[in-house]
Amino acid sequence: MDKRLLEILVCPVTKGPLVYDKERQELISTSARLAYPIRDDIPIMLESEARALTDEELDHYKKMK
Amino acid sequence: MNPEDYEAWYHTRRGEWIGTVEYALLKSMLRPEPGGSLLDVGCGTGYFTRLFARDVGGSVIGLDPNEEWLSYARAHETQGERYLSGRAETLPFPDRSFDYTISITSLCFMSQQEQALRELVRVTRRRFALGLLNRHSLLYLQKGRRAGAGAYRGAHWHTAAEVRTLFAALPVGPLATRTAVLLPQGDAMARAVEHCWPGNVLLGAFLVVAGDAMNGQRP
Repeated sequence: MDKRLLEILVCPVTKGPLVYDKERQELISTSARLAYPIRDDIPIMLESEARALTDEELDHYKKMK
Repeated sequence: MNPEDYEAWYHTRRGEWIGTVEYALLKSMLRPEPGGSLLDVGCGTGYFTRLFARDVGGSVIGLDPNEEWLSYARAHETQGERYLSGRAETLPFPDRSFDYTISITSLCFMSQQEQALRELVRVTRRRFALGLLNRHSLLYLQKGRRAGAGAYRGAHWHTAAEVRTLFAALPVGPLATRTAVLLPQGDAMARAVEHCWPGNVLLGAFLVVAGDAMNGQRP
């Protein structure tokens, strides 16, 4: 995942900040409660492709911010 | 159509001429300064993204919802341009993120055009240029009427007046409009006519609308 691209990206829905989960290859938007996938190094910033976060995940990522 | 076939068209004699003429008009109206950052919304295979990356040389990003086309673009990256999947109506960037934004024959396939333009202007710091299909053109009569033929299927063909209306509520400076590709067959006659025809007589197939974003702090 390109570092400079990561620095500039925000959540397309809320325009809030994102958390990069390197292990899961996801970009997390706590403000939208969504996880956007990264496939073959390409961030997929589409609401339709995003996964909804569980309450536990939301807490976890909020603490990481 | 797959990305390989789409790109192959730009390497035909006619496609190469059209690509060159369109790029020259876009660049002359965007007026990018070397080293600026640029976003290409609806970049597809990255044909124009690569041309601007070569000429502008700064940070260049292409965005498109189609992953297959993005994979092609990424495999043909030449100057470190970067790609991501996203929609024009919901851009994943903060306000005023890019010096320059472009969107080339992409808006014509979108249902929420006003929202896409609002987003384009929002992320622009300096200047934007849109490439559109001109309803007042010979190509429209050949390929655009009814549902449209080939690659133009489902496309919306704009008039310059219609585009001005789309921008009416947006924070932009005076809009410039010009066209290119008057005779779409691309033969010797078309090249000669193109050379003489003034771009401000808006009858070419490729309509470019450009302007300054006025959405915040001015220097």
